[in-house]
Amino acid sequence: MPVKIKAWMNSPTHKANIINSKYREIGIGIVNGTLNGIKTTLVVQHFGTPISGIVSGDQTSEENNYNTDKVGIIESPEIIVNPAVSKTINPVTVSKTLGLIMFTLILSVILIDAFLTYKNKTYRLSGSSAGHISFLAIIFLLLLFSHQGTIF
Amino acid sequence: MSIIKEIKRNPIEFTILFIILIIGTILFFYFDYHPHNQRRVVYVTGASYFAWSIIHHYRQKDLELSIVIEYFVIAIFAALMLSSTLF
Repeated sequence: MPVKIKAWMNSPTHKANIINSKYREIGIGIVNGTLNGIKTTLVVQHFGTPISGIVSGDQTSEENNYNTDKVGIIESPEIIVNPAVSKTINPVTVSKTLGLIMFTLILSVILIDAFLTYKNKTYRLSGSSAGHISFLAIIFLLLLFSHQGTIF
Repeated sequence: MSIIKEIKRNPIEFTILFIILIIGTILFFYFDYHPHNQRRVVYVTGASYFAWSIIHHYRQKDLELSIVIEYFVIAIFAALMLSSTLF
């Protein structure tokens, strides 16, 4: 393993990721096996910063911005973090927020529809409002309480 | 309200639906940090909800293509929306 660390530190791009102060956590995976017919050891680094991470200096936290370096017989893609990018939008947070908004809208529409059809005593061939609301409410709660990208 | 009346009219069917949803919720949180399994749970829960709707409306004798499509779209939308946030 020290050989690998030495190899990473001798590689300017790998070293840039290792000493990058934006990353607060690291995970390392090592797998022995056969790759493309050749016995090899694949070592993967996975860098990240938790959403609640405190970042020193004037750099803004890269929320769940994970970066992976690999050392093995495969030439790994060189990943360099652009220091000019100080703030990124987490796409998962965008999806989650949009999802919550859409679920709220749909649930509101179904509730209003159920109330109006009941009030006006309208008979209409449609799905069960109770079923829709139960299902969508559960999915809404799962979406609200699910969390992503946490290192455990 | 019509929702409560609907549940009271078909208590067994709605109990089955609630059991499906509760099991889905428990399994979702049981597989916390395992997004692949969580995705499977979401897809199975969506499919179960769709199957429940077919049986429910078949028993109500009002099963129509428009209703099937309505449930299908809601199940697909919910499952895709939730699974797209699991990493």
